[in-house]
Amino acid sequence: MHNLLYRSNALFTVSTTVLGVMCLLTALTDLTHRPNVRLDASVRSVDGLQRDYGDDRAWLSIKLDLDLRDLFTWNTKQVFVYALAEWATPRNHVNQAMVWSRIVQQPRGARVKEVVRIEYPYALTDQGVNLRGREYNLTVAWETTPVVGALHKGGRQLGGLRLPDDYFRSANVPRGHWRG
Amino acid sequence: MNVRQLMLQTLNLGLIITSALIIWKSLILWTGSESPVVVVLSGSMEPAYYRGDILFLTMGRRPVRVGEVVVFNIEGRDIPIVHRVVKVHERRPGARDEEVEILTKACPTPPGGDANYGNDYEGQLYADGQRWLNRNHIMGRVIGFLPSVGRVTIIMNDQPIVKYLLIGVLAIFVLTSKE
Repeated sequence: MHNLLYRSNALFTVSTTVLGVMCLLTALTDLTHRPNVRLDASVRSVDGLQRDYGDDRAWLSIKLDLDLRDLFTWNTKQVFVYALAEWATPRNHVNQAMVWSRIVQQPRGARVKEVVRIEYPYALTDQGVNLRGREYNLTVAWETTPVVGALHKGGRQLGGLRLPDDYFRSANVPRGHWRG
Repeated sequence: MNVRQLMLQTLNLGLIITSALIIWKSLILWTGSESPVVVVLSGSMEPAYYRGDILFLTMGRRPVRVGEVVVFNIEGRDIPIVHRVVKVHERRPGARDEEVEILTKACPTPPGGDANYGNDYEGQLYADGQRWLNRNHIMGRVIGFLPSVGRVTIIMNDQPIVKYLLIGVLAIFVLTSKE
């Protein structure tokens, strides 16, 4: 009985050690990969700027030209790609809001060439009424979830953007929206 | 078995327990997170993280930013939650606690319905009357991933008898093993 117990213990120890080493080696292979991605983005139009439930809110159309296919290695489970707006106000030195995101699980989905709008559940809202004429940055970023190992990140910032000086609303702003 | 050998084995067991504690506490110091290794207990971040996956966390002094996956505590909830940050408002550089306001959200496209589609404030995940997470609610940000291994702890939590059985067997091994 002891023999069986000790042998199964030894077998278990060896197999978990081997599995652990394999995981470690797999995670380390990420270090040799320098992904070559394209992250081109531009603001095609500002579709609206309104006071919404007491706070300023902006609507944008963003033109994306992304190629993330090179992020997919044998140790990539998924890629989360997203866009965020960042601005500073008298109240807050940093305001950040995610404005678009997508989960990519296959390399063929990693080519994004489209115009996207800020849609529920995302919203570009300020804490206060500071968005008129406000300068802001737009960042497109990605994050990989590995099969095993460390998460990897990257991104590109588009700076020096500015919102309009007055409130307005175009036909692209949906009526009856939710607060985000 | 003589007394000398029994003492040696007991010492051995003590050494194993204390080294595990030392490693855990060192990890806490090194990562700056009060819980550097966590097991995913819900499917709200699928398809990135499934129940039973293990996440490695750090905290550090770096401010929390949009896009990061964080683990946070809510008053009145036993279990910490793993979600992604979608909004940050920070009053000043180096802001702490209530000067940092954070909004989180589950995975954008959870399989099996849209229960998690809105952000965590709309989904009433936060405590009553809580609009934002503050810096002090955040336990750590996810930096590493190990799949499935945490299922063992989920089973042990659901079936405590498995836990005691496993600990018992391990203790027998340590106490009776010869050199």
